[in-house]
Amino acid sequence: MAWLITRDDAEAEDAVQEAFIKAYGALGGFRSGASFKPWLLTIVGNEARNRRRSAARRARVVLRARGEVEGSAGAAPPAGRTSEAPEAAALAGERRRAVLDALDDLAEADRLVISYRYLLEMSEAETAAALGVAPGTVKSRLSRALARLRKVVDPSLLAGAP
Amino acid sequence: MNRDPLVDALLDLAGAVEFPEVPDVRGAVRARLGARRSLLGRFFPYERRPVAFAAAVVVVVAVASGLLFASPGIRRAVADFLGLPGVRVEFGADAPTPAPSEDDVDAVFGRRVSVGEAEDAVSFPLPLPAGVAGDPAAFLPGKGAVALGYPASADLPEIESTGYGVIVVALPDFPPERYFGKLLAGKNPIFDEVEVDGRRGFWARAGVHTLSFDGRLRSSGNALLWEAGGITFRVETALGLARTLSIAESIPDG
Repeated sequence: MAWLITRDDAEAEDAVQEAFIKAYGALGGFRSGASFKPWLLTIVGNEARNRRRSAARRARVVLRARGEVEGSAGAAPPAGRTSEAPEAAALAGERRRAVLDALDDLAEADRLVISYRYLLEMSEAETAAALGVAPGTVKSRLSRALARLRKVVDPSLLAGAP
Repeated sequence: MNRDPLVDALLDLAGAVEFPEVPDVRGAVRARLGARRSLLGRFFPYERRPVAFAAAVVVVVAVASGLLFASPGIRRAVADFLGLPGVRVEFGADAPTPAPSEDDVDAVFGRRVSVGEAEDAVSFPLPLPAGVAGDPAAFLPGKGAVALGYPASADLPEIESTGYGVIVVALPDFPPERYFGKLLAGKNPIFDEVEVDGRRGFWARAGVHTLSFDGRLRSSGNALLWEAGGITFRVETALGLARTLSIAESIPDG
Protein backbone atom coordinates (compact mmCIF):
# COMPACT_ATOMS: atom_id res chain seq x y z
CA MET A 1 0.00 0.00 0.00
CA ALA A 2 2.76 2.46 0.92
CA TRP A 3 4.58 1.58 -2.29
CA LEU A 4 1.50 2.38 -4.38
CA ILE A 5 1.62 5.90 -2.95
CA THR A 6 5.36 6.55 -3.02
CA ARG A 7 6.29 4.33 -6.01
CA ASP A 8 9.71 4.08 -4.45
CA ASP A 9 10.99 1.02 -2.53
CA ALA A 10 13.09 2.92 -0.02
CA GLU A 11 10.48 5.58 0.66
CA ALA A 12 7.78 2.96 1.12
CA GLU A 13 9.94 0.99 3.54
CA ASP A 14 10.71 4.10 5.56
CA ALA A 15 7.06 5.13 5.57
CA VAL A 16 6.07 1.76 6.99
CA GLN A 17 8.78 1.92 9.64
CA GLU A 18 7.80 5.42 10.67
CA ALA A 19 4.14 4.41 10.72
CA PHE A 20 4.87 1.50 13.07
CA ILE A 21 6.83 3.80 15.34
CA LYS A 22 4.07 6.41 15.37
CA ALA A 23 1.44 3.74 15.87
CA TYR A 24 3.38 2.38 18.83
CA GLY A 25 3.52 5.86 20.32
CA ALA A 26 -0.16 6.44 19.70
CA LEU A 27 -1.40 3.10 21.02
CA GLY A 28 -2.72 4.82 24.12
CA GLY A 29 -5.17 6.74 21.95
CA PHE A 30 -6.45 3.65 20.14
CA ARG A 31 -10.12 3.12 20.97
CA SER A 32 -10.82 -0.21 22.59
CA GLY A 33 -13.09 -2.29 20.34
CA ALA A 34 -12.16 -0.34 17.19
CA SER A 35 -10.72 -2.15 14.20
CA PHE A 36 -6.94 -2.09 14.33
CA LYS A 37 -6.10 -2.54 10.65
CA PRO A 38 -7.88 0.61 9.34
CA TRP A 39 -6.35 2.59 12.20
CA LEU A 40 -2.88 1.43 11.23
CA LEU A 41 -3.58 1.95 7.52
CA THR A 42 -4.49 5.57 8.24
CA ILE A 43 -1.08 6.13 9.79
CA VAL A 44 0.75 4.29 6.99
CA GLY A 45 -1.18 6.28 4.37
CA ASN A 46 -0.29 9.58 6.03
CA GLU A 47 3.38 8.68 6.28
CA ALA A 48 3.55 7.49 2.68
CA ARG A 49 1.87 10.65 1.40
CA ASN A 50 4.40 12.73 3.31
CA ARG A 51 7.21 10.93 1.54
CA ARG A 52 5.98 11.05 -2.03
CA ARG A 53 8.58 12.11 -4.53
CA SER A 54 8.22 13.90 -7.85
CA ALA A 55 6.25 12.02 -10.50
CA ALA A 56 9.31 11.74 -12.73
CA ARG A 57 11.02 9.44 -10.23
CA ARG A 58 8.14 7.09 -9.54
CA ALA A 59 8.47 3.45 -10.51
CA ARG A 60 5.64 1.91 -12.51
CA VAL A 61 3.65 -1.12 -11.51
CA VAL A 62 4.75 -4.10 -13.59
CA LEU A 63 3.27 -7.46 -14.42
CA ARG A 64 4.57 -10.60 -12.81
CA ALA A 65 6.18 -12.14 -15.89
CA ARG A 66 7.24 -10.49 -19.12
CA GLY A 67 6.37 -13.60 -21.10
CA GLU A 68 2.86 -13.48 -19.76
CA VAL A 69 2.39 -9.89 -20.89
CA GLU A 70 3.62 -10.76 -24.34
CA GLY A 71 1.44 -13.83 -24.39
CA SER A 72 4.15 -16.44 -24.68
CA ALA A 73 3.03 -19.97 -24.01
CA GLY A 74 4.38 -21.60 -20.91
CA ALA A 75 4.60 -18.43 -18.82
CA ALA A 76 3.34 -18.79 -15.30
CA PRO A 77 -0.31 -17.79 -14.91
CA PRO A 78 -1.35 -15.46 -12.10
CA ALA A 79 -1.52 -17.07 -8.68
CA GLY A 80 -4.56 -19.25 -8.23
CA ARG A 81 -5.30 -19.57 -11.90
CA THR A 82 -4.88 -22.51 -14.20
CA SER A 83 -2.56 -22.25 -17.16
CA GLU A 84 -3.99 -20.66 -20.28
CA ALA A 85 -3.80 -21.81 -23.90
CA PRO A 86 -1.25 -19.79 -25.91
CA GLU A 87 -3.87 -17.72 -27.75
CA ALA A 88 -5.86 -17.01 -24.59
CA ALA A 89 -2.63 -16.20 -22.75
CA ALA A 90 -1.70 -13.70 -25.44
CA LEU A 91 -5.09 -11.99 -25.21
CA ALA A 92 -5.00 -12.01 -21.41
CA GLY A 93 -1.51 -10.52 -21.48
CA GLU A 94 -2.62 -7.79 -23.86
CA ARG A 95 -5.66 -7.02 -21.70
CA ARG A 96 -3.63 -6.89 -18.48
CA ARG A 97 -1.04 -4.62 -20.05
CA ALA A 98 -3.73 -2.28 -21.41
CA VAL A 99 -5.62 -2.10 -18.11
CA LEU A 100 -2.43 -1.58 -16.13
CA ASP A 101 -1.23 1.19 -18.45
CA ALA A 102 -4.62 2.90 -18.34
CA LEU A 103 -4.69 2.61 -14.56
CA ASP A 104 -1.20 4.05 -14.31
CA ASP A 105 -2.22 7.06 -16.36
CA LEU A 106 -5.17 7.95 -14.12
CA ALA A 107 -4.99 10.77 -11.60
CA GLU A 108 -3.57 9.57 -8.31
CA ALA A 109 -6.86 9.68 -6.40
CA ASP A 110 -8.50 7.46 -9.03
CA ARG A 111 -5.51 5.15 -9.33
CA LEU A 112 -5.27 4.59 -5.59
CA VAL A 113 -8.93 3.89 -4.90
CA ILE A 114 -9.05 1.31 -7.72
CA SER A 115 -5.73 -0.22 -6.73
CA TYR A 116 -6.70 -0.57 -3.07
CA ARG A 117 -10.10 -2.11 -3.83
CA TYR A 118 -9.15 -4.45 -6.65
CA LEU A 119 -5.39 -4.99 -6.75
CA LEU A 120 -4.91 -5.18 -2.98
CA GLU A 121 -8.48 -6.36 -2.40
CA MET A 122 -8.93 -4.10 0.61
CA SER A 123 -12.39 -3.61 2.14
CA GLU A 124 -14.20 -0.29 1.86
CA ALA A 125 -13.34 0.54 5.46
CA GLU A 126 -9.66 -0.24 4.89
CA THR A 127 -9.65 1.72 1.64
CA ALA A 128 -11.23 4.71 3.38
CA ALA A 129 -8.60 4.57 6.12
CA ALA A 130 -5.73 4.28 3.64
CA LEU A 131 -7.03 7.21 1.60
CA GLY A 132 -7.78 9.29 4.66
CA VAL A 133 -11.44 9.79 3.65
CA ALA A 134 -14.80 8.95 5.21
CA PRO A 135 -16.02 5.41 4.51
CA GLY A 136 -19.02 6.77 2.63
CA THR A 137 -16.73 8.55 0.18
CA VAL A 138 -15.09 5.38 -1.10
CA LYS A 139 -18.10 4.13 -3.09
CA SER A 140 -18.65 7.38 -4.95
CA ARG A 141 -14.94 7.93 -5.55
CA LEU A 142 -14.56 4.35 -6.81
CA SER A 143 -17.52 4.72 -9.13
CA ARG A 144 -16.12 7.90 -10.67
CA ALA A 145 -12.65 6.37 -10.97
CA LEU A 146 -14.02 3.28 -12.74
CA ALA A 147 -15.95 5.50 -15.14
CA ARG A 148 -12.78 7.36 -16.03
CA LEU A 149 -10.84 4.11 -16.46
CA ARG A 150 -13.60 2.67 -18.64
CA LYS A 151 -13.24 5.61 -21.03
CA VAL A 152 -9.63 4.81 -21.80
CA VAL A 153 -9.65 1.01 -21.98
CA ASP A 154 -10.51 -0.53 -25.33
CA PRO A 155 -13.86 -2.35 -24.72
CA SER A 156 -12.93 -5.08 -27.18
CA LEU A 157 -10.08 -6.09 -24.87
CA LEU A 158 -12.49 -6.52 -21.97
CA ALA A 159 -14.76 -8.92 -23.82
CA GLY A 160 -12.67 -11.91 -22.84
CA ALA A 161 -12.06 -10.91 -19.22
CA PRO A 162 -12.49 -13.90 -16.91
CA MET B 1 -18.97 -13.73 -10.45
CA ASN B 2 -18.80 -10.00 -11.10
CA ARG B 3 -20.68 -8.97 -14.21
CA ASP B 4 -18.72 -5.80 -14.92
CA PRO B 5 -15.98 -6.85 -17.38
CA LEU B 6 -13.76 -3.95 -16.27
CA VAL B 7 -13.95 -5.07 -12.63
CA ASP B 8 -13.33 -8.65 -13.74
CA ALA B 9 -10.28 -7.46 -15.67
CA LEU B 10 -9.00 -5.59 -12.59
CA LEU B 11 -9.50 -8.61 -10.34
CA ASP B 12 -7.65 -10.73 -12.90
CA LEU B 13 -4.89 -8.11 -12.97
CA ALA B 14 -4.49 -8.37 -9.19
CA GLY B 15 -2.97 -11.82 -9.51
CA ALA B 16 -0.62 -10.75 -12.29
CA VAL B 17 0.88 -7.61 -10.76
CA GLU B 18 4.43 -7.78 -9.47
CA PHE B 19 4.76 -5.69 -6.33
CA PRO B 20 8.18 -5.19 -4.73
CA GLU B 21 9.16 -7.71 -2.10
CA VAL B 22 7.94 -6.68 1.34
CA PRO B 23 10.99 -5.98 3.51
CA ASP B 24 11.16 -7.15 7.11
CA VAL B 25 11.21 -3.92 9.10
CA ARG B 26 10.84 -5.43 12.56
CA GLY B 27 14.50 -5.13 13.55
CA ALA B 28 14.79 -1.55 12.36
CA VAL B 29 11.58 -0.53 14.10
CA ARG B 30 12.73 -2.13 17.34
CA ALA B 31 16.10 -0.37 17.07
CA ARG B 32 14.52 2.99 16.35
CA LEU B 33 12.02 2.65 19.15
CA GLY B 34 14.81 1.80 21.56
CA ALA B 35 16.98 4.68 20.41
CA ARG B 36 14.18 7.23 20.53
CA ARG B 37 13.03 6.14 23.93
CA SER B 38 16.48 6.45 25.40
CA LEU B 39 17.72 9.59 23.67
CA LEU B 40 14.73 11.75 22.92
CA GLY B 41 12.27 10.84 25.61
CA ARG B 42 13.92 13.27 27.97
CA PHE B 43 13.29 16.21 25.68
CA PHE B 44 10.14 15.76 23.62
CA PRO B 45 6.71 14.23 23.98
CA TYR B 46 6.61 11.15 21.75
CA GLU B 47 4.23 12.33 19.05
CA ARG B 48 6.27 15.45 18.42
CA ARG B 49 9.69 13.84 18.39
CA PRO B 50 10.53 13.58 14.66
CA VAL B 51 9.48 17.14 13.91
CA ALA B 52 10.79 18.50 17.16
CA PHE B 53 14.09 16.72 16.70
CA ALA B 54 14.59 18.10 13.17
CA ALA B 55 13.50 21.53 14.34
CA ALA B 56 15.89 21.39 17.25
CA VAL B 57 18.76 20.46 14.95
CA VAL B 58 17.83 23.28 12.58
CA VAL B 59 17.69 25.77 15.42
CA VAL B 60 20.95 24.64 16.97
CA VAL B 61 22.84 24.67 13.68
CA ALA B 62 21.18 27.85 12.38
CA VAL B 63 22.08 29.70 15.54
CA ALA B 64 25.57 28.30 15.46
CA SER B 65 26.24 28.58 11.73
CA GLY B 66 27.30 32.20 11.77
CA LEU B 67 29.72 31.48 14.56
CA LEU B 68 31.12 28.17 13.46
CA PHE B 69 34.38 29.51 12.22
CA ALA B 70 34.77 31.88 15.13
CA SER B 71 33.94 29.71 18.06
CA PRO B 72 35.42 26.25 18.56
CA GLY B 73 33.24 25.96 21.64
CA ILE B 74 30.04 26.24 19.66
CA ARG B 75 31.38 23.96 16.96
CA ARG B 76 32.18 21.39 19.58
CA ALA B 77 28.67 21.71 20.97
CA VAL B 78 27.16 21.09 17.53
CA ALA B 79 29.49 18.16 16.87
CA ASP B 80 28.58 16.74 20.25
CA PHE B 81 24.89 17.21 19.56
CA LEU B 82 25.11 15.35 16.26
CA GLY B 83 27.65 12.93 17.62
CA LEU B 84 29.47 12.70 14.31
CA PRO B 85 33.12 13.69 14.41
CA GLY B 86 34.38 14.72 10.99
CA VAL B 87 30.94 15.45 9.59
CA ARG B 88 29.23 18.80 9.53
CA VAL B 89 25.56 19.26 8.76
CA GLU B 90 24.34 22.54 7.31
CA PHE B 91 20.70 23.41 6.89
CA GLY B 92 19.61 25.93 4.31
CA ALA B 93 16.76 27.02 2.10
CA ASP B 94 17.52 24.43 -0.55
CA ALA B 95 20.06 21.66 -0.77
CA PRO B 96 22.28 22.56 -3.75
CA THR B 97 22.09 20.44 -6.87
CA PRO B 98 25.47 19.54 -8.35
CA ALA B 99 26.08 20.25 -12.03
CA PRO B 100 26.14 16.98 -14.04
CA SER B 101 29.86 17.39 -14.65
CA GLU B 102 30.47 17.72 -10.92
CA ASP B 103 28.32 14.79 -9.90
CA ASP B 104 30.98 12.17 -10.39
CA VAL B 105 31.37 9.91 -7.43
CA ASP B 106 34.83 8.68 -8.41
CA ALA B 107 36.11 12.26 -8.64
CA VAL B 108 34.49 13.18 -5.34
CA PHE B 109 36.06 10.28 -3.52
CA GLY B 110 39.54 10.99 -4.79
CA ARG B 111 42.37 8.71 -5.86
CA ARG B 112 41.37 5.21 -6.94
CA VAL B 113 43.62 2.48 -5.57
CA SER B 114 43.56 -1.28 -5.19
CA VAL B 115 41.94 -2.74 -2.09
CA GLY B 116 45.40 -3.86 -0.93
CA GLU B 117 46.80 -0.35 -1.31
CA ALA B 118 43.84 1.07 0.59
CA GLU B 119 44.43 -1.43 3.36
CA ASP B 120 48.05 -0.33 3.67
CA ALA B 121 47.18 3.37 3.55
CA VAL B 122 44.75 3.60 6.44
CA SER B 123 45.30 3.09 10.14
CA PHE B 124 42.22 0.93 10.75
CA PRO B 125 40.77 -2.26 9.24
CA LEU B 126 38.97 -1.62 5.95
CA PRO B 127 35.21 -1.33 6.56
CA LEU B 128 34.23 -4.28 4.35
CA PRO B 129 30.58 -5.19 4.99
CA ALA B 130 30.16 -8.97 5.16
CA GLY B 131 26.59 -8.46 3.98
CA VAL B 132 27.66 -7.24 0.52
CA ALA B 133 29.14 -9.63 -2.03
CA GLY B 134 31.84 -8.79 -4.52
CA ASP B 135 34.96 -6.67 -4.62
CA PRO B 136 34.68 -2.95 -4.03
CA ALA B 137 36.38 -0.10 -5.84
CA ALA B 138 38.64 1.60 -3.28
CA PHE B 139 39.45 5.29 -3.00
CA LEU B 140 41.67 7.36 -0.78
CA PRO B 141 39.99 10.74 -0.39
CA GLY B 142 42.75 12.08 1.85
CA LYS B 143 43.01 12.97 5.51
CA GLY B 144 43.39 9.30 6.37
CA ALA B 145 39.92 8.30 5.13
CA VAL B 146 38.89 5.48 2.81
CA ALA B 147 35.87 5.03 0.52
CA LEU B 148 34.65 1.73 -0.91
CA GLY B 149 32.13 1.48 -3.74
CA TYR B 150 30.25 -1.76 -4.44
CA PRO B 151 28.72 -1.99 -7.94
CA ALA B 152 24.94 -1.80 -8.26
CA SER B 153 23.24 -5.14 -8.92
CA ALA B 154 19.81 -6.70 -8.97
CA ASP B 155 19.83 -6.69 -5.16
CA LEU B 156 21.52 -3.34 -4.78
CA PRO B 157 19.80 -0.55 -6.70
CA GLU B 158 22.04 2.15 -8.08
CA ILE B 159 22.65 5.26 -5.99
CA GLU B 160 21.91 8.43 -7.95
CA SER B 161 23.59 7.42 -11.25
CA THR B 162 26.88 6.54 -9.57
CA GLY B 163 27.08 2.96 -10.80
CA TYR B 164 27.39 1.89 -7.16
CA GLY B 165 24.83 0.15 -4.97
CA VAL B 166 26.66 0.63 -1.67
CA ILE B 167 29.27 3.24 -0.79
CA VAL B 168 31.06 2.89 2.53
CA VAL B 169 33.20 5.72 3.84
CA ALA B 170 35.26 5.58 7.02
CA LEU B 171 36.56 8.85 8.42
CA PRO B 172 39.21 8.86 11.09
CA ASP B 173 38.37 10.90 14.12
CA PHE B 174 38.72 14.63 13.73
CA PRO B 175 39.13 17.32 16.29
CA PRO B 176 35.98 19.44 16.56
CA GLU B 177 37.48 22.39 14.68
CA ARG B 178 38.00 20.28 11.56
CA TYR B 179 35.51 18.44 9.45
CA PHE B 180 35.81 16.06 6.56
CA GLY B 181 32.53 16.26 4.67
CA LYS B 182 29.35 18.26 4.85
CA LEU B 183 25.77 17.18 4.48
CA LEU B 184 23.94 20.11 2.95
CA ALA B 185 20.34 19.66 3.92
CA GLY B 186 17.32 21.37 2.43
CA LYS B 187 14.33 23.13 3.92
CA ASN B 188 12.69 20.10 5.42
CA PRO B 189 15.51 17.82 6.43
CA ILE B 190 14.69 14.49 7.92
CA PHE B 191 17.45 13.14 10.09
CA ASP B 192 16.18 10.21 12.06
CA GLU B 193 18.14 9.16 15.07
CA VAL B 194 18.76 5.42 14.93
CA GLU B 195 20.82 2.78 16.66
CA VAL B 196 23.57 1.04 14.68
CA ASP B 197 24.85 -2.04 16.46
CA GLY B 198 24.00 -0.43 19.79
CA ARG B 199 25.57 2.91 18.90
CA ARG B 200 23.90 6.22 18.23
CA GLY B 201 23.57 6.98 14.53
CA PHE B 202 21.67 9.12 12.05
CA TRP B 203 19.69 8.28 8.97
CA ALA B 204 19.60 10.99 6.31
CA ARG B 205 17.24 10.38 3.43
CA ALA B 206 18.09 11.01 -0.22
CA GLY B 207 16.45 14.04 -1.76
CA VAL B 208 16.94 16.10 1.36
CA HIS B 209 20.68 16.43 1.35
CA THR B 210 23.72 16.78 -0.84
CA LEU B 211 27.17 15.60 0.12
CA SER B 212 30.03 18.03 -0.09
CA PHE B 213 33.52 16.72 0.19
CA ASP B 214 36.49 19.00 -0.13
CA GLY B 215 34.39 21.64 -1.92
CA ARG B 216 33.01 19.16 -4.49
CA LEU B 217 29.29 18.40 -4.48
CA ARG B 218 27.41 15.27 -5.30
CA SER B 219 23.79 14.18 -4.91
CA SER B 220 23.59 11.77 -2.03
CA GLY B 221 21.56 8.61 -1.70
CA ASN B 222 20.16 7.49 1.64
CA ALA B 223 22.94 7.64 4.19
CA LEU B 224 23.47 6.07 7.56
CA LEU B 225 26.10 7.67 9.78
CA TRP B 226 27.51 6.57 13.07
CA GLU B 227 30.71 6.61 15.03
CA ALA B 228 32.55 3.66 16.53
CA GLY B 229 36.03 3.31 17.93
CA GLY B 230 37.05 6.80 16.91
CA ILE B 231 35.98 6.30 13.28
CA THR B 232 32.93 7.93 11.73
CA PHE B 233 31.25 5.56 9.29
CA ARG B 234 28.95 6.48 6.45
CA VAL B 235 27.05 3.83 4.49
CA GLU B 236 25.15 5.13 1.49
CA THR B 237 22.59 3.12 -0.49
CA ALA B 238 19.40 3.46 -2.49
CA LEU B 239 17.79 1.05 -0.03
CA GLY B 240 15.54 1.65 2.96
CA LEU B 241 16.73 1.91 6.53
CA ALA B 242 16.23 -1.77 7.43
CA ARG B 243 18.50 -3.12 4.69
CA THR B 244 21.02 -0.33 5.07
CA LEU B 245 21.21 -1.05 8.79
CA SER B 246 21.79 -4.71 8.06
CA ILE B 247 24.69 -3.82 5.72
CA ALA B 248 26.12 -1.35 8.25
CA GLU B 249 25.96 -3.86 11.06
CA SER B 250 27.83 -6.43 8.97
CA ILE B 251 30.95 -4.25 9.01
CA PRO B 252 33.37 -5.88 11.49
CA ASP B 253 33.88 -3.60 14.51
CA GLY B 254 31.79 -0.98 12.74
